[in-house]
Amino acid sequence: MLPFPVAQIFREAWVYHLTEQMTSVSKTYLLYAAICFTITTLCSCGHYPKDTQGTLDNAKNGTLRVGTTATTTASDSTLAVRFAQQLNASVDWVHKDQQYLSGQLSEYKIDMAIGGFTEDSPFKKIVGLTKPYRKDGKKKYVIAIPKGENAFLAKLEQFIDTYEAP
Amino acid sequence: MKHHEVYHNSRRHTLPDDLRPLYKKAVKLERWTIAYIISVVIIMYITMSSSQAMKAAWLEDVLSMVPAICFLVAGSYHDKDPNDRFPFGYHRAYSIAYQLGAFALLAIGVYIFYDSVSSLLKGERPTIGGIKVMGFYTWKGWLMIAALLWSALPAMLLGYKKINPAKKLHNKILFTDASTQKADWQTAAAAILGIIGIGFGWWWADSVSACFISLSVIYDGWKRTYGAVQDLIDEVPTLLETGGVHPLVKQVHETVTAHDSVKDARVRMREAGEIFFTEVFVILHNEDDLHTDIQSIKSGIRSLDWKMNDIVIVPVTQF
Repeated sequence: MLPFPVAQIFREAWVYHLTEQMTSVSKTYLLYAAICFTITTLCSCGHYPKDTQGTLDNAKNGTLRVGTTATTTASDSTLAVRFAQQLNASVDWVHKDQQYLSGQLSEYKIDMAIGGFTEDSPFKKIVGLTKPYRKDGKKKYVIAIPKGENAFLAKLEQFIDTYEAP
Repeated sequence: MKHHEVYHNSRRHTLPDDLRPLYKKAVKLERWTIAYIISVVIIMYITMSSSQAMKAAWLEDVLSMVPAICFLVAGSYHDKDPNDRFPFGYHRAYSIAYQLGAFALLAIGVYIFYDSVSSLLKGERPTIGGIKVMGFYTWKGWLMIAALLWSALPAMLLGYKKINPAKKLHNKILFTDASTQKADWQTAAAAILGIIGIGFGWWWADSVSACFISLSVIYDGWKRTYGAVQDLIDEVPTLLETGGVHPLVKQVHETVTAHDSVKDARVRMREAGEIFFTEVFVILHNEDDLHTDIQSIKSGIRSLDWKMNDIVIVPVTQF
């Protein structure tokens, strides 16, 4: 019992020339195939997924606004600098505490905050979190970003994957 | 109560020979359904992350196991004979869990509606990252869409296969299960559109699609709860698909009034699982051959259909 009776679909489509004689199951499979095809064509043009506030596009070739805290290490800052270099952007530093930075992120006033944020951060309701970029014993450190900026998140996570801490 | 005080009018349910293989097929399909839904629940739970629409679809899928489980569990009760504690038999064993499941569905639908509308009003924006799949960084949204496709396509096929056995067996649970599975593609399609919307930057697409899903769940839950209530208050037997009065009701009346010794008759019937309980009130021309007449009326009705299990004939002088 195959969930995808491909041969059946093609046979019916050929024989009945896409008329009402096709079973409703085959019709729905074809509908799904059409949806998948449309999705692939739509998404191949332009960057996908997109940001809701255009964070990535604003940062590219522009300014990357980075928030730091008292617990930001030197290697954290280097990471941010390298990322900005990849975006061909200059860095604007904002140094405060996690609460202030989370507020700024939620208002889309800064692009990312690095320094002491972990996966179970109490601020995860108002900010987005990346995958861990550094492990320190049991703690997994992540970068906080504005919520809904999925293009920026993808770019940053891909950077994290390839980045090796000096 | 002492045994000699109780009469068991109905027998345990025995299907006619031509329907037995169909029942076995239905059991096999329902077992596959449960295994499949478990796989769906696990896969969707792993890929769910912060999508409201997926959460809605997941909850609906979890509850979709209830009719299948009911069918299999109640099946084992069906083989039991009526006894002194349960002189009317176990035919209604199906209905109980089904009713609970129907109400649970309605409650879940309302919850999802509340959850999705409040997240929409709060302006919550789903943040969906990526994961490495075979060395390639993949957006989790694609994985979610794949999980949703797995939750929909095999379900449709299973539902399609179960619908005919359900109709022939006149089994309400199997029928409801099959028809909701067939329509499963709508929920998955809505959730997929929601995720695609997120990808395009429309953060509200997810909550809106979750809202639509919740409305369809509420509608389903309401229909089923209403059906369960009708069942509880002994509605006359109905056809599965249309809900219209079952033709057997009229047939019984015609058969009885066609009998030589019957002057007039009134019939009242109700369903218990797939079995019909019948009570016939007859005015006879004369009561000379009372017992023979009643016996022949009874066997006449019984021979109409395999579902005519419990029959009571009451001679009266007026209605």
